[in-house]
Amino acid sequence: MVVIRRSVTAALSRHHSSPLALLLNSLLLLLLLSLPFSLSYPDGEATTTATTTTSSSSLPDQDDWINHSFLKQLELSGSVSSSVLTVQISPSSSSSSPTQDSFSPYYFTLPSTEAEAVSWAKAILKSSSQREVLQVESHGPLKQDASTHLFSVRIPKSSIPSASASSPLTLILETTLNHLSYPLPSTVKQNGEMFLQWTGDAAIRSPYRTEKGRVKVKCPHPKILSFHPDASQGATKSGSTITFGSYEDVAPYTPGSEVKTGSVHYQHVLPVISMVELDRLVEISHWGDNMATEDKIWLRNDGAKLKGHFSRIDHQMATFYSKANSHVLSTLAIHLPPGSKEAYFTDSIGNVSTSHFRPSPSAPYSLTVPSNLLPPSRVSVLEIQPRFPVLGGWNYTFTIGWNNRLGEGGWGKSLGSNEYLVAVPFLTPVTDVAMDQVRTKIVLPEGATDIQFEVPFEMDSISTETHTTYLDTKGRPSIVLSKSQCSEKHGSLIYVRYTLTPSAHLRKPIAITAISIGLLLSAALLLRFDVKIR
Amino acid sequence: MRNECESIGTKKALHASSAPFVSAVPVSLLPYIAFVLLSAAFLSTFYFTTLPKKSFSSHEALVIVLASLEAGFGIVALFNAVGVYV
Repeated sequence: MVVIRRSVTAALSRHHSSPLALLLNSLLLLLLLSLPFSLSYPDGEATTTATTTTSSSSLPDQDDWINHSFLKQLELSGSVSSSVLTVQISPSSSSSSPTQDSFSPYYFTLPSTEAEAVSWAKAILKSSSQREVLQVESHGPLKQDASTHLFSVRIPKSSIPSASASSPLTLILETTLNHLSYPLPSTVKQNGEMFLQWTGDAAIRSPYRTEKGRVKVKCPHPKILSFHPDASQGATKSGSTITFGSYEDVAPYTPGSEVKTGSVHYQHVLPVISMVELDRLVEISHWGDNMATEDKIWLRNDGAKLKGHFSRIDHQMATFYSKANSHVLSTLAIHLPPGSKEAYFTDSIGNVSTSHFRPSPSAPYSLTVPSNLLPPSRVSVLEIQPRFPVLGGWNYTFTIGWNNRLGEGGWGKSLGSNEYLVAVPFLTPVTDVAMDQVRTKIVLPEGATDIQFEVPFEMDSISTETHTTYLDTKGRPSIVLSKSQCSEKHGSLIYVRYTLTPSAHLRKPIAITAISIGLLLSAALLLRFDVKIR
Repeated sequence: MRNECESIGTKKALHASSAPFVSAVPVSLLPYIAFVLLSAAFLSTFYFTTLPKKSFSSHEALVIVLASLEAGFGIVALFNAVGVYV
């Protein structure tokens, strides 16, 4: 760049009236402006909104509720497992001192291994007449017993009078658990089979008395090496489901009481993938009617590590037989929202051509549905094949990106009087992939003011900063949201509302016009001086 | 900038019921607009260099402003046409 400028200025001094040289110089100056440069702006005010966890919590009064039936269904998978806990409850007649609030809390106790793995929780209350979604609060470990964590939901008192032993309330707690199982054995040959082990509660753990209940563990594959407690102690296996139980008249959990631990050793025929870091950048453009998304992903295979050496020949032969190296990640299909186009897949070396993109038309009415749950005809599929097969313990860092139309795709809405509302997905959900640290940066057009946003779930930290990129004069306001321990359930939309006046919208072309006027004026001035030596 | 703690779902409902965003200029036309504006800017700049430099004239100022406007909008249209949505 410097060399070119020197030659141009040298040429200019020789033929200072040459229009070509002037044009070249002005073009270079324009190029300089158009190059993106990121100045280090200080971060805006960072607010941390962590879940309210009190480190010392105590068990509730065990007489508040009675569990008539307690069914825990754990569905195990690779890096993301899920659990559905269905309890039929009714207030105990011997409950003392009713509180004055309009809510009555119900507490769940979970073992610490499971509680620390919880990435998403939702509770549904079903009574004879209605169905309601309740907010789940985490209270952290018990004061007297660090191996148990407390969670609670607030049941509205209006639903309680109708509940009795004959028509109990049904409370369903759905949780998503990250990294619950681990590979056992921890190293496996390249073409060997991989097995995962789960350890957890095989009995009932509840702060209230339970009349009957059982624990069911469902594995992804019917081949189960072992489970404990085994058939001799009452557990049954049917297909790929193990049932521990049934338990009758279980006493409420007290600190120090033993809950039977169970374990299941099962086969997993797919690779265990997790995204250690996901950095998302979303740029909203009004001139281009576009929402550009770029994801920088650090992918890791959390399955069994490789025993011995990697043999490329064995890998090529085994790709014909899908079972042989099933725990090796060779391709990953990412479902992008409908209407995505111009997708790219690059890494630190450059473009990775081993990928296939199948676009689909825009579907403005399916925006709220997570893209991994949409039917295959609706969704855009980006199938990526890393440069090398990712074996157990190996990492792969790459960047994917795509564009979405704001208007046609239904992502951006105009509210009139220069106000706009855009919906931005927090992350792209991929089935059975745990995301350990997610950071999303939403960049709004330059000159956007009066910014308000709504997040679908609690973030670990929210901050604002100024992002400078192509053709910016004062930088674009941006919102940075970060959350740890996410899964496909966090693919919901973030709504951002902002005001963009026409003068702010025209800032870019006017800035370039001003620079061009400056250049041409200076050219006009310079051309009037005659510096020839006569 | 504040995170408005409204009831969850108000923006969601507003988003679903509002009119879709319409850009100032249809995006499919931007490549053609870019070509027309930038060639006009190039020609205007060329014409500016042919103007006599004996005295100042308002005609010269007009040509300067016109060429710059064409260049300004042409550059923004060019950026969008090649895929850098600014």
